[in-house]
Amino acid sequence: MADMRERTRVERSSGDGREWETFVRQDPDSSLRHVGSVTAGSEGVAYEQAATLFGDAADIWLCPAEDMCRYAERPLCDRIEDAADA
Amino acid sequence: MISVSKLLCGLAAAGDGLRYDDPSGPDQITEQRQRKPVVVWNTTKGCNLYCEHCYAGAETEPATGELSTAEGKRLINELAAFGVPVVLFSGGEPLVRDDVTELVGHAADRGIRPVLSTNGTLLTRERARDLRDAGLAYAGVSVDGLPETNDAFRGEEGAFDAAVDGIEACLDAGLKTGLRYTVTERTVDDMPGVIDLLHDVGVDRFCFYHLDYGGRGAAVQDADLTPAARRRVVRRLCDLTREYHADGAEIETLLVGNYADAAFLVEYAREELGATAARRVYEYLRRNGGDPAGERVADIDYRGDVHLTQFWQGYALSNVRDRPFGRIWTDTANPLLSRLRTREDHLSGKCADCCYRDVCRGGSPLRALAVHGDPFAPDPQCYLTDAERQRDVPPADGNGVSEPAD
Repeated sequence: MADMRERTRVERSSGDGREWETFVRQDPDSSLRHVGSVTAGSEGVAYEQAATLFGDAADIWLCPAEDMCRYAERPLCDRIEDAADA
Repeated sequence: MISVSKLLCGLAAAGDGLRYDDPSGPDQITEQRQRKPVVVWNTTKGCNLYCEHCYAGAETEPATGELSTAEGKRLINELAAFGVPVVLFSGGEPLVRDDVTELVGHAADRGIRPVLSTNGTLLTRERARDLRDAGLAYAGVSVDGLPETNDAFRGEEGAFDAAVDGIEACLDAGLKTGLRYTVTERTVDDMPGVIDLLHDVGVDRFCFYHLDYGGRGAAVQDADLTPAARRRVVRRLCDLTREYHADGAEIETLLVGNYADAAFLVEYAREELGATAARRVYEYLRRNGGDPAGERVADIDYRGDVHLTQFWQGYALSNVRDRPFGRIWTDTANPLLSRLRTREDHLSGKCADCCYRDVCRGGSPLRALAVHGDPFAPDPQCYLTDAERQRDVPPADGNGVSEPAD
């Protein structure tokens, strides 16, 4: 059955430096997991930074944040429980 | 945040034994509420000054992608629902945003204690009154030295006088107002003079920050104090605090950003006040929990990225536009967040067997990362001696009267 959930595309502005979404596989049998992002001017520096923070991971993957397409079911712009106050 | 005045001058107060938490301070909150972090929100990257040590790397123009007013209010709603006790509105310079008073008021309405970190230069009397009326609980104004030093550090002639005008505007409005002062080689000599001058103006709360190595702060590491100089300045602040109190001026003095200070305060109390006082200082500080990164302090930047502290802008856990803050902060599937919260098991080098690791918890992981490439390596700003790291702690209890140091 097709996925009927509604999602909104989340826009992301670039910050002062290039941001790299970071994923690690903690050991060879585990799934790849998103663990945040590092800011670095190049892939090499981004990898160094990620490796200092997640040095015990088996694998580290990096992706420029601006190349990620984000679709969220409840992004901040749609989280309107208190819309009357917002 | 370590209250020198509370620990060294408040100990004699009857019934004060177990009360380190002080509701009058922005970061000293009750033990129960302290389980949720104080949130620093860098509402903007824009600033009217350009300071050498700015951890946020603020620019003179706001950057694109700031959370809007509506997003900010939704964020505040989520922080309130999660139980965040305090939001520190910071920047850049938060007062360059036209909606800061509105956001402060929204936080107050939601039961969050709103406090402000500002360079003070945009604080007119009208703005101070509006912030007071909106429910602002505290304004911390950054000054780094007497006029010549401060203005050079902050990149603008007249910044010192403008900040003092801002402080006076706050005090006239009846706002609790304090000093924020970053101690470096360039500013250390001015410290007593600034306390004197601002005490005359009416300030009675003085927070001294050690330099952290984030943002432009990382580029001015050469201006940081040597361990010996740091030890001297912390001792001087302890002495000054006690001198003011002895003269009847009950100023509040606090140290921020280096938990070697916690161990030093125990040592200072042992030497100056005796073993019983030292033991009490130790117990207060052990409960206080040491370095707060990833636990008692969180940071949300102008784009909504969530950081482990306000100084650690180069790594983000996630973004509040994608996911509610509470879910980000409680997701200990993140291995770094998990390790920070059990860091006593991961400390290395001289920290691993230091007797003070329960009150310090390794100090700043960001400085350790910047200097050693490992957030669990020793904080390069630690100034304890080998002998101090091997003490018997908690200090053996005495008979409650002044006694010589061990």
